[in-house]
Amino acid sequence: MHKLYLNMCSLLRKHLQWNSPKLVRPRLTCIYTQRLLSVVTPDIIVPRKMKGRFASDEQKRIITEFVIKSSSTILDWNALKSSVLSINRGYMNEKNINGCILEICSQQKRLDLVKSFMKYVKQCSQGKPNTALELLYIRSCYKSRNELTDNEQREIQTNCQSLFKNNLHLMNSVLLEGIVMGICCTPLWRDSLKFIKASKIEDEITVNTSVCVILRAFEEAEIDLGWTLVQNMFDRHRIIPLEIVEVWFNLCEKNVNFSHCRVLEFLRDNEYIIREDLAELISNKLKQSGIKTTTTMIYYNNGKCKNCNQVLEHAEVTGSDFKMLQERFLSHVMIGNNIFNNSSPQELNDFKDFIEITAPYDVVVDGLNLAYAYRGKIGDHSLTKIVMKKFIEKKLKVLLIGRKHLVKILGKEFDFIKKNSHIFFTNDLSKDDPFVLYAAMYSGIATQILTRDLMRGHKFLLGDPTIRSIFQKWLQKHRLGLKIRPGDEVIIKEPITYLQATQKSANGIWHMPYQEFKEPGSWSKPDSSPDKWMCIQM
Amino acid sequence: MLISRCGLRILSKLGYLSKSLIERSKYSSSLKLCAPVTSASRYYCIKPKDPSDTLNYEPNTPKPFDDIDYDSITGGDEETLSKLKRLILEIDLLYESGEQIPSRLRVDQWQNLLQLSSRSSRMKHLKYLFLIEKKKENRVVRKLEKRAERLERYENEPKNNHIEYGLLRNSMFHRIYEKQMNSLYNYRLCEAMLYGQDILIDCSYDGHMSLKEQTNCAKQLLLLWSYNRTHKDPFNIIFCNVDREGTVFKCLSKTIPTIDDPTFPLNYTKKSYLDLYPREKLVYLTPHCNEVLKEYNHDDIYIIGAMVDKMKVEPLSLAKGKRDKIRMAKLPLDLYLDWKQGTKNLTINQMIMIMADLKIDNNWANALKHIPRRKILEVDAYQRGLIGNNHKISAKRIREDFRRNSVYSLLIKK
Repeated sequence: MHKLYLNMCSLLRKHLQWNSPKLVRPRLTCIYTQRLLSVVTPDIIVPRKMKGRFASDEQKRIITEFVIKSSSTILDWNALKSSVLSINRGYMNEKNINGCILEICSQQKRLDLVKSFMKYVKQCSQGKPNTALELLYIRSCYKSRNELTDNEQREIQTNCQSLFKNNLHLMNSVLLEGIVMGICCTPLWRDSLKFIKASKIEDEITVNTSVCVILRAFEEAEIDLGWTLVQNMFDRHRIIPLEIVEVWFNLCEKNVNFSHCRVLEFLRDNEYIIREDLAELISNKLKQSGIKTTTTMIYYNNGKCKNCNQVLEHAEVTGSDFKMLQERFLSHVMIGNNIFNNSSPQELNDFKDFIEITAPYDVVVDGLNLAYAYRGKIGDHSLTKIVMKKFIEKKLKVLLIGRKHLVKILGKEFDFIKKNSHIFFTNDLSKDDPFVLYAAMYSGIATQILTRDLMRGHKFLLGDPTIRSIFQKWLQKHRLGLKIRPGDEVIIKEPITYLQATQKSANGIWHMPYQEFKEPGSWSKPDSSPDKWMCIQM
Repeated sequence: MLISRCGLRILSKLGYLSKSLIERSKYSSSLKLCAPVTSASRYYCIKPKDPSDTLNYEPNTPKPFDDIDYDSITGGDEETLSKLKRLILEIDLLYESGEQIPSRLRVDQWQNLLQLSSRSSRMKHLKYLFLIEKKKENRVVRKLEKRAERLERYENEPKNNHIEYGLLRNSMFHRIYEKQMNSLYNYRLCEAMLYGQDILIDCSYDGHMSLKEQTNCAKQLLLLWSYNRTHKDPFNIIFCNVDREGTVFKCLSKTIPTIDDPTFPLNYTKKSYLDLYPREKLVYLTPHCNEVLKEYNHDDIYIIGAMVDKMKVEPLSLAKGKRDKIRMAKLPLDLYLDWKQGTKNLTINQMIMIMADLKIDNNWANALKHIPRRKILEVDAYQRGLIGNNHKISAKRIREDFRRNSVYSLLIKK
């Protein structure tokens, strides 16, 4: 009876699926299907097929449970292997199962299990295990490096040296990382520098490799070596890992000679904006040693700290830097790979001639950005006219750049603007942003830009990180903004003039900017200005 | 169904053409723009070699890759050999730590891996290869399951002693073989070559695409060609600016081994389109320009850029059109469609579908049906709101609702 009912249900379901729109009114079918399905579903659940990611997760789960449960070091590894391999459509197979088990053992920080497993592998293969397994073993030793005995250290040391000697001609970054990790567990850690040099792949070494050496150097109180290594790593990867700072502060606690300020000085010299987790760490550590830190904010208009009323330093772009930026901009952004992508050679030459005759300007206005970015915020379309009037009343020399179709948008206002300022229109198929930036750069360091665009795309095209930071500073100092108040009152916002980097004022108060932590996928503020500041009073 | 299956199988069997076709193909060979050269080299088998002398492995431990044909990968070059060994070591390390690495790699796949410069790109490519391998494995398993199911069904069917009618049984119709369909399609193509409308495919973007994009492009070109030949009024497609050494052409000639046969109805040339036609007649179809194509003009020659830009979108075709000073046009997508999601770039085979239908009767609404439906708002989108409450929903709101929901589902997935 039950079976018949089930059959009926499935038949009805099929019937409804195909014919419901034609036969029955939509609302009614809804009720029927729901009622039927609610009866049928509990019997129809099919067990999920053991394959792909699901199967390999299952495999991992088996190993992890085994590792967590086991208390003694003599274990039945064969049984574990066979139970894992019984799931045959996962990602683990006979070839890579050894590595996977070792990886999970080291994740759980069970050095004893790692050792016993290595013994087991050696028994199985009657000799040395292969390079990859050995590297994994060294890595797991490094993870729990404080528990190693002298004998083990010696063993690792000989292993590392032989590995390095055998694989010198095919050294890669991962292999080197493993070897350096191993050698850093032993008293011979200084050899790691020799290894890095001899491997001839200094450009490719990973962050982890350098971090190992740096940590060891700080632990041994070799501060000069440590900081030069930190600087090298920073130049290559633009990153400061948490561990380094932590170890440095620990060192400071033990030894009075070393100062906490070294980290802040490093941040100041490199003008690096750190993330929130690192900032919290620094603040905690400083509080422990009795230094007062407070989260603060900086007033946009004058650059004063809310907490201590200090005025921050001015951002400055030097003449040589600016010149470098000019040249780089023309070659990398304006022309790029193909001048036809942005413009055409004819147009660029016309523009250059135009600028040479009419430069220098006080303000360069991005006409299209002005016309479109503030659309809907102001009653009628006279924003361009209002802004231009403001500039002209101040007796500034203004250049308006846009595309040819801007004339249509401006309409009647065009005549007024034409009489009172310089105008350059690019073709409808060209990009106008590079022209704005180029005009502002060419006419000198005093020229300002009016646009809401943050020009991050153009910043990226500059390539080199130092030039990017010069560009960022220059743009921050010269970009005017608009503020529209109710009643169509337009205010021109002055640019931010203070330096947005870690700095020390005359009376010994440090100011450090940092970026807020954000959930991946959430809306993030553009990176023009750091979100938060910290006021550190020594 | 039958026709499309024929169309797919046809590609491999075009070497054996019927007599009538060979007669016709004299015309087609005279129309070929490029003289046939030797066919592209292909790899059929790999002879295993003992790698024990190259890497110091212990004999008993299992190794991920044991049959690597060093000679054919490197071509005897010392520098590449050391690079390859380095690569093998790197992949071994990844493999041992349980990363997703394919269990076998072909010679051309090794060569592709050697060309990638950074480690992360190699890892990405390896994962891609891994997924392909798993897909193939699953396909085989599924096929076997289906076959078992089918056999079971046939056995359980009631049997009669009389003649059976139906699919795969007796029928009153004559069976149409693939060969016959082929000859029909090729006849149409040859006719188009003589009297039909020309269309140009500009294959000069090889250097601007990544490896994956290049293979995608080759696939799209294949689809384009096979769709065109089944169309009732096909174009005379001419692939211009073709680089015979480039990846795109190599991939294409891998799927069409007979591409260089004099009887094969496909035209390609390494000449530029400016050498083939007068400048005034050419129109470049690019999404980046402002000019809109109002209707199909039979006097013009349209150019489609053979480019796949998944990673970064640069106005390359626009730059090319500007440099060569030819007219440019884009499809009037905004005028005829309500866009929901995705970029307004279309694939190359969709372009040819649209142009081929447009050529017949200049009916945009009909031609633009080839754009995938997922990119467009449903027809009844505006009316849906009317049932419950009185106010009408605007297209903009529907689009925004859709986006918000898709973002949520993405976040939930993470």
